[in-house]
Amino acid sequence: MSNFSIRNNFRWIISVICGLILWNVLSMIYLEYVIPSPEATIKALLSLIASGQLFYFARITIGRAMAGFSLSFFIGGSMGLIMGLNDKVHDFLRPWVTFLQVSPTISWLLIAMIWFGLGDGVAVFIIFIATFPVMIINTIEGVRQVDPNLVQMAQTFEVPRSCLIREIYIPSILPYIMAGASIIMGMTWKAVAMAEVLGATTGIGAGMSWGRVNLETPEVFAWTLLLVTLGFVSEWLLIRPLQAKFSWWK
Amino acid sequence: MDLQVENVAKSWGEIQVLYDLNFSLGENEILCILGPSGCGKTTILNLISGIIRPDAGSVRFSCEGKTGYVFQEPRLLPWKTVYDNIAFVLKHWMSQDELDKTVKGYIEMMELNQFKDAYPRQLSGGMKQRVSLARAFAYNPDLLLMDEPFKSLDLTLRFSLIKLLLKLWRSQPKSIVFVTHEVSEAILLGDRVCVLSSKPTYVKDCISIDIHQEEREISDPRLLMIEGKLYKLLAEE
Repeated sequence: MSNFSIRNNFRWIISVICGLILWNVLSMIYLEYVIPSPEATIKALLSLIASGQLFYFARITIGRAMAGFSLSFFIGGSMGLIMGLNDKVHDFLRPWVTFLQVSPTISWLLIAMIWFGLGDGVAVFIIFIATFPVMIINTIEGVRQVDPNLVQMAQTFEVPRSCLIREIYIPSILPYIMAGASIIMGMTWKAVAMAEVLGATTGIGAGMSWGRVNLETPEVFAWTLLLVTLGFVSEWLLIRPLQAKFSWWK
Repeated sequence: MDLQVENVAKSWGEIQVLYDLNFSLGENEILCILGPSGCGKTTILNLISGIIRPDAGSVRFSCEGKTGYVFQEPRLLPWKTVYDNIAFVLKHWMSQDELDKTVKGYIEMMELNQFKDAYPRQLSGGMKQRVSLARAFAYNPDLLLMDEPFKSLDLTLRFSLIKLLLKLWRSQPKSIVFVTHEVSEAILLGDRVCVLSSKPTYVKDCISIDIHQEEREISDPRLLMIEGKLYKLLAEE
């Protein structure tokens, strides 16, 4: 391990310790139902593990998150590629992408509850609506940054357009697609929790909602901790390896 | 492939780049176009390749055929190996066996055997330009346009690439338009050298070099005399 990464990891650990100390201090100032201590949160977490609820709800949330993320990644990425390559399609669809980007997610959540009822459909739909405009915009930006000299080279050698897209555009935009994937992965966990709070009776968000109703704030914190952990794990185990895989040539 | 450029004019907005430009290129001839920086040399190649159209005049070819291009920068795909960069321009029209044979043949001819699986970032500037040359010749064009391909290389590397280019040209003769601002490159390569004026650009004169490329040495008094003539033409207002 290089000195640089040792120093980085050290700072990282110090930062986490500082956060834990601040949390502990605040929990001593406020009552437990306002800010529970780290100890109370861990106890709530262990109790959720012991009851089996944690793994059951986590499995449901992960399933919904991955379904919404995958839809957003593939549909948003494909639409971004098409919009980036074709100005007419771009001009036609861009106002709607902006519309989705700026419209409040909570409005979509209420509408989705009317359309789909409570359950998986609402969560997957909300993740998709909240994240796929970001995926589209990132991919369009990637297409715009493709080196025009490489495109001109391929055109001069009469490389067919399908080959041009497959072998120049897609490899060029992969770093942008992966940056988009990293952003929407983080958004996915937030969106799934929000959708489950109102739109589901199972899942981490629903667990949070039950904790709030029963004034079990340590439980709300425990579910939040789990969600944050899932966010880190997905970033480290899914996004970063993929980013490394698609930029081996750099 | 023969080429006739007749009375071509081209402007970019208010700026007249080319004015009454005339020259021709014979079958399997190397025509060097020599001109000062910024005189519109790349514009001439873009007109020939059809990337842009002239405002007046015509660019005529003796027959239908393929045009290859060697650019100033090698323009290699950074995510492809040397082998795959050459194969990239061939695989949509060549069978797999033929492609493999062709690519390997050019890799060997360009002395890149050790680097066939290397990525562009692992290559020096000279090696990258060798891959670019191999790609252009492997494409087997009837007309090859070369836009100051050795511009960013040092003198030794430039002369070694000129030798490699001549080796490729001898093994696979074709008509070449070689644009440069280096007199030494023009006199080592060209069957004829056309000297351009500054903007608006026209052909001042074309000089034939009747010494076989294989016999040319940069210190040859006959070449030095031609070099002097070319410098004089370049310096003339």
